[in-house]
Amino acid sequence: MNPGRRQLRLSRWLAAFILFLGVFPLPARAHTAINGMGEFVSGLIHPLTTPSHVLILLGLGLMIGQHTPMELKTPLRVFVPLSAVALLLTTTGFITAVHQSVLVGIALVAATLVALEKRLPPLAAGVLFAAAAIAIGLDSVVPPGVTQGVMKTLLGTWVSLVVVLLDVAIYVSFCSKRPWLKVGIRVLGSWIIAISLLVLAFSFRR
Amino acid sequence: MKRPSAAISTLLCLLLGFVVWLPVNAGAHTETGAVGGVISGFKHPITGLDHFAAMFAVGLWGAFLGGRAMWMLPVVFPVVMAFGGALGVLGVPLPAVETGVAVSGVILGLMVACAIKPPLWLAAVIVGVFAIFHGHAHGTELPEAANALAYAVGFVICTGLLHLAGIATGLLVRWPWGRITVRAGGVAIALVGLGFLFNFL
Repeated sequence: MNPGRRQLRLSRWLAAFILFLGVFPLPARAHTAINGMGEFVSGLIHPLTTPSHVLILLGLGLMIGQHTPMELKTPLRVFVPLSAVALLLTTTGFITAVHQSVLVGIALVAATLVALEKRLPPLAAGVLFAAAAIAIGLDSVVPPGVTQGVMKTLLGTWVSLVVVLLDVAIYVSFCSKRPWLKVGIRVLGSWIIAISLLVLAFSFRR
Repeated sequence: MKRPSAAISTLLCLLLGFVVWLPVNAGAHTETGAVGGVISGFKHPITGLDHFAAMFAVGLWGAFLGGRAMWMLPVVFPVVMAFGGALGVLGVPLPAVETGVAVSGVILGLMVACAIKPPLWLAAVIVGVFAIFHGHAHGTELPEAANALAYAVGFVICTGLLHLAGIATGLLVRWPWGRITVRAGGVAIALVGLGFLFNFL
C-alpha cells in the first residue's frame, strides 16, 4: 500500500479512537461539575479549563498537523513521557505553579511557527515540546489529599494532555489538502500570537 | 479566479451570523470569572462603531484585493494590533490615537470605495500602521480587574470574526451588483470614519 495512504488510514483510525476517548467520559456529565466529580474525570477536564494550557496544546497541535507528512515521533517521544514526569513532580510540593508568562511564551513560539508555516528542525522541536510538557505538567498541581485520588487526577490530566494534542494534530492534518483550510490554520496561529502578546503585556504591567 | 466552494460561503455566512447573534445571547448572563472575561473582551471591539467599521473594512478590503491579501491582511491586523495593545497596556504613549482610529476608517473605507489595489506589502503596511492605533486604544482601555487571558481570548476572537464578516461580505465582488454593494460599504465606512474624525458621531 502507498505509504501516504497507509499513514492517512492510520491517522483516521487514531482520530476515531481519540474521538471515542473524548466521547467516553460523557456519562460523567450527570454529576455536578468538579464537586463530587470523579478524580480521573476532574483531571481530564483540567487542561481544557485552563486557558494557557489550551493555547499551548492548540499551538503545538496546529504545528504538528500543519506539515505533511505529519511528524508524530517527537511529540510521542518527548511530550508524552516528560509531561508524565512533570505531573509526578508536582506531588513533591516544590513547585506550586508556573508563571503564566512562561506558558504564554511557549504558546507564542508555537503560534508564530504556525502563522509562518515553518517547520522546526527535530532538535529544536524536541526542546519546544519538552518545555511545553514540563511547563504544563508543573502547572497542573493537584491540592494535597489521599494519594490514590491525587494519582487518579494526575493520570486524567496526562491522558487529556496527550489526547488533546494528538487530536488537534490529526484533525489539522486532514486539512492539509484544502488550501483555504491551511490559510485558516495560519489565521488561527495569528490569533494565538495576538492573545499571547496581550497576556504577556498584562503580566509585565502587574 | 477560482470559484470558492459553497462550503466556504456557508461557513463565512454562519460566522457572520454568529458575530451578530452572540453578544445578544451573552447579554443575558452576568460577567464573572473567566467566562465573564471572555464576554467582556468579546464585547469590547463591537461597542465602538469606529473600531467595528475599521476591522470590518480590513476583511472587506482583503477580499476585494483577492488572492493572498484575503488572508494576509486579517493575519497582520490582529498581530500588530496586539503589539499596539501591549504598548497601551504598558502605558507607552502614542500621539493622536483617536485621530488615527478615525482616519483608519476613512482610509480603509476609501480604499474599498475607490477600488484601490496597491501592492500587497503596501496594503499590509497600511493595515499594520492603523492596527497599532486600534490596539493602543483598546490596550489603554482594558479594565484592571479583567482576567487577562480570558479577556484577550474574547477580544482577539471578536476582532478575527469581524475580519471574517468583512471577508464574507467582500466575496460578493464576484457579481456586478455585489461589487457595487461592497464599494458602497466602503463609502459607508469612510463616512463613519469622517463622522468620528470631525466629532459628528
